[in-house]
Amino acid sequence: MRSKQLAAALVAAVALAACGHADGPQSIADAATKAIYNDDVTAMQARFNDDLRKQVTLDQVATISSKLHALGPYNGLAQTAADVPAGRYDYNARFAQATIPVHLRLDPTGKIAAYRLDIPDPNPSS
Amino acid sequence: MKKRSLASLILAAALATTLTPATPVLADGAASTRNIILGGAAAAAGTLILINHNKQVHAREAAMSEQQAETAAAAQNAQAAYQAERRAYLNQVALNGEYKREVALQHNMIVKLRQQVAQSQPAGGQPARVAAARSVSYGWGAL
Repeated sequence: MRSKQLAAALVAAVALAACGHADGPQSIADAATKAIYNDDVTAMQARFNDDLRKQVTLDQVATISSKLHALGPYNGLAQTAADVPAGRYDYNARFAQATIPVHLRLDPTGKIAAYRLDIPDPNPSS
Repeated sequence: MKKRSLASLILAAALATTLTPATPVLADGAASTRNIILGGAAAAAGTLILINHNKQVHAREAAMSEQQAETAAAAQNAQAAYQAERRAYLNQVALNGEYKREVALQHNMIVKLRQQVAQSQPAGGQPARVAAARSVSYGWGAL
């Protein structure tokens, strides 16, 4: 009897662990944001679909990374809106000095088809 | 009315004078001639009075008819003016309706254009200013 309970507990633990490793939209957005913050083009492109991957340049990623670093350390995402049928998800990315909106669109395969951040403009008049 | 009664009385007297047969017949020829002359004079006077009275009546009726005609003409003019004003008013009402429809159509077009502008997002890595939030959108792909 005791061995059966132990086996069930193990199965449940494995199932939960599998669930934790599944890439949900938030974990995808979090991974992409971390990759951009760290100026890691390879890690970021791994989340993008083929069409979007072709649009990315090293300079763009470096520029965005520097702007994010200006906001302080990255502290994760919080979801603000979701349109699951359309694959649209909105998050707030928390940094030490600011919280900025992050917008995500996933294609049917779970890859990122669009990714955008709204970074505060230090010179709004220009 | 008073004149008409008077004329009737005179006429009746004249007729009575000329047609009375009860007068005793005298053999006096001069008296007979005098009676004939007096009766003719009375008849002529009555006829003149009647003619004068009729002239006055006709003149009064003509004046009344003329006044009625003038009144009718004025009334017709007023009616025509009213009809013209009413037609102008109805035309203006129809024109206002057309203006209202035009404004509503233009309003719908403005709303649609505003929606299109709000939905437009720049593609690629080019930054796009978001004026409302005073932030710049960076990233790739169209949402």
